[in-house]
Amino acid sequence: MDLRSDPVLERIAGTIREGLSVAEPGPDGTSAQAALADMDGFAFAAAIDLGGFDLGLSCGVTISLELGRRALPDVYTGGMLVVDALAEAGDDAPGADIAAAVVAGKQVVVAAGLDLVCRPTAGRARLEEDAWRPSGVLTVEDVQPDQACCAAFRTEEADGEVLLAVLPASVWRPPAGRAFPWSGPVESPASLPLDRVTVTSGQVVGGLGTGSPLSDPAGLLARHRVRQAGYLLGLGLGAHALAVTHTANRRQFDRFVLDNQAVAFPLAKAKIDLEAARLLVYRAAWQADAGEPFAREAAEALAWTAEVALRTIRISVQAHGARGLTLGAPVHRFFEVIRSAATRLGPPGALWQEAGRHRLAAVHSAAVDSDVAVERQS
Amino acid sequence: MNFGESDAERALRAEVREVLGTPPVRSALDDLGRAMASGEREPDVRPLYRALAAHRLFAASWPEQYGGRGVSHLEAAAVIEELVRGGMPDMLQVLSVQIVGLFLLEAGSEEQKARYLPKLASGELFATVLYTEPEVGSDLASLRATAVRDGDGYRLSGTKVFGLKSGMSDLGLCAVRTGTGTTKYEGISLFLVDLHAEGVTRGHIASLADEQYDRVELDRVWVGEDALLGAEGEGWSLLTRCLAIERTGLDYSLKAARWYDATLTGLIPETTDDALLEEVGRYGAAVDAGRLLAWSTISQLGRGPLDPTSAAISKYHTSETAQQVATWAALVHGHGYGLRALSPEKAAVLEAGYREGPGLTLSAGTSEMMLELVASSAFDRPDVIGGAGGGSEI
Repeated sequence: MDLRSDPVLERIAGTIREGLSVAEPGPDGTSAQAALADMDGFAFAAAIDLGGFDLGLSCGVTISLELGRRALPDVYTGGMLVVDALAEAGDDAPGADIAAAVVAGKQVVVAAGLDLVCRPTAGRARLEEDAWRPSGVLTVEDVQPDQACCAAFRTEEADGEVLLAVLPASVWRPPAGRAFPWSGPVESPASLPLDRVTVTSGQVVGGLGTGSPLSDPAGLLARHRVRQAGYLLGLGLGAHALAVTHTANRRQFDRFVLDNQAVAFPLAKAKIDLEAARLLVYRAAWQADAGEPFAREAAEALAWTAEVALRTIRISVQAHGARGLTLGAPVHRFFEVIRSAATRLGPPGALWQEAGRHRLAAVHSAAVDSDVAVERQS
Repeated sequence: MNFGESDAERALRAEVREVLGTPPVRSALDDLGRAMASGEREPDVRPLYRALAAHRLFAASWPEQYGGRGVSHLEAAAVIEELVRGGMPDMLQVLSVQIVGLFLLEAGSEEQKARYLPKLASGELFATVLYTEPEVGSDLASLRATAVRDGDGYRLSGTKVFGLKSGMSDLGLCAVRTGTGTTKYEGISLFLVDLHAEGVTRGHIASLADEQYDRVELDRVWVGEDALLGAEGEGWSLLTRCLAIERTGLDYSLKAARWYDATLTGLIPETTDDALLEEVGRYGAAVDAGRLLAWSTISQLGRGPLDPTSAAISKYHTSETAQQVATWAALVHGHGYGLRALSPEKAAVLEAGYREGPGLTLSAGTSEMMLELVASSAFDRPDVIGGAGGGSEI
């Protein structure tokens, strides 16, 4: 392993960061989409067959990280899930037009339902007259007026396969309402009762496999998890930088706030955890790009960054004092965004359990192999 | 970033596994195993080290002229990982090769390198550090031991404590005061002391861990001018530079991995509940992250001065994680480590780990010092990810 910084990714990160600097902060992702589209950002990590540059998942992680670093709405990862699902399909495959629009930067897609389908008890979809009738309620992040929704739902067939369907705004918005329970002045995600939605076969773009945890045969979920981890890492880094800047300049009790160990040490610990997160996230991405197994690494990268970003942002808000709670302080935005971003693909606890199962199985499988080898030798 | 193994690393790992199976090494490992099983807390590892050194695997990153193979620091790290996984206790190797040896490579004169490094690489000599003193603790610049000019050499006097392995070592890298300045950081010098010399008394301080702390008394111990490392009175800058080398975290990450793996061998997948599975995942990721942080720091070695912040990050995470894993193992496996399906051998590993754990977040700089280093140096660096400048590093 040579873990020195990658100069190519550094340049890409710098380009994206500069391009995104014109995007307006706030819940509406229209300007973030436009800024990313202006630099062909949606094409960087997409497959060549879909009009992309095929720069790999590491590049995709870098893009989502830079969006998170400014707490911009996630206009990126849902679209890349669709693009991944259709990477092997032909031009005439269902959803190919949407994937092409995503790569061209003309269509924002937000993924939904991935927190629900990881639970085996979640509602299942019935097949009626060649169309799926899902059940339950999806919570959809509302980042852009014309966004499509990539909805994950589990079928009621014996093996309970989880499918991904792209629902254009014209399909999903009419039945959607304000999510409940949700209160306070911040924007609310949309609530989509699935029993009012019919999913046709033409809207299904891929599948995440069966079982719990999901078998994810094409690695779509794992890739999505890594990109989401990148976004969360960016959120943590952005809030941390704001907290450091604030406390290094703000004087209280005749000294800079950062000169107090009670302030500096939690921020130092957060920096250490973020550095660990960076390596876990990029390791998972690297393994994906190298064609190596990365499902466990993806789950761990996401769980780690979700917890670290939440902790870091809470510390960063605290470091700002009361002004951190005002809408004039950018750090407040991170506090809003992390709430749903941290659990959009399921709670960290469930991800840790999944990773724990992988690890325990690997240890015992190795032990069995070792026993067999010893028996053969004897 | 390249998270894969290079061909050279892979080949070295394979060679190490082969060497570990050769009769002299196997025999030395078996002797160690028997000694530990009989309750010996600190068995002599030197025969094993010498058997490994015969294959030039003991100080692989050193130049060939000094008994190494001239491989990169990353390749040497692969060798160490494989040796430790194969059962090599690493403390004396860390002290002798990774700390004192690297210090000599960085700061020693050509004569000092030629005189000592080949012997350290072959296991003919072993070395340890003599830094802190009673009442000095982590505030190393407050040390009181002195070196006074005497003819064409110096007389060293003082008491050094909380070092390790001095009983098995021949040389001590010793920090003493040769003068005073406007600050306490001036006037500190570093010497290589022959631990067999007249005036040196070595003893133990009864300690919690298997590896006992040492107390080394220096009573007017004479050393020649050629024992001085670097310039007289300018030892502090050398120390701060070389202390970072102690903090790659590789050794701590290997302890964390060893204790984590041992913990898992006593868990049966079918009967492990969700709460415990969650911890298996969480600690596993922390152990992995520690290894990545250590390798990230090692990736910088040999390419200019080691960034002390990177080393502090690595040292903090790896030592804290190792300690937490050892404590977690005690909770998981319960009283006497007999709650689940742990073998007696693994239980012994974890029991010793529990007692060793607290020392890890104190040695080579306390966790609090690491946080201080990170807070004071990292936040304003624009080129570090998460730094105030926005960060460019990927």
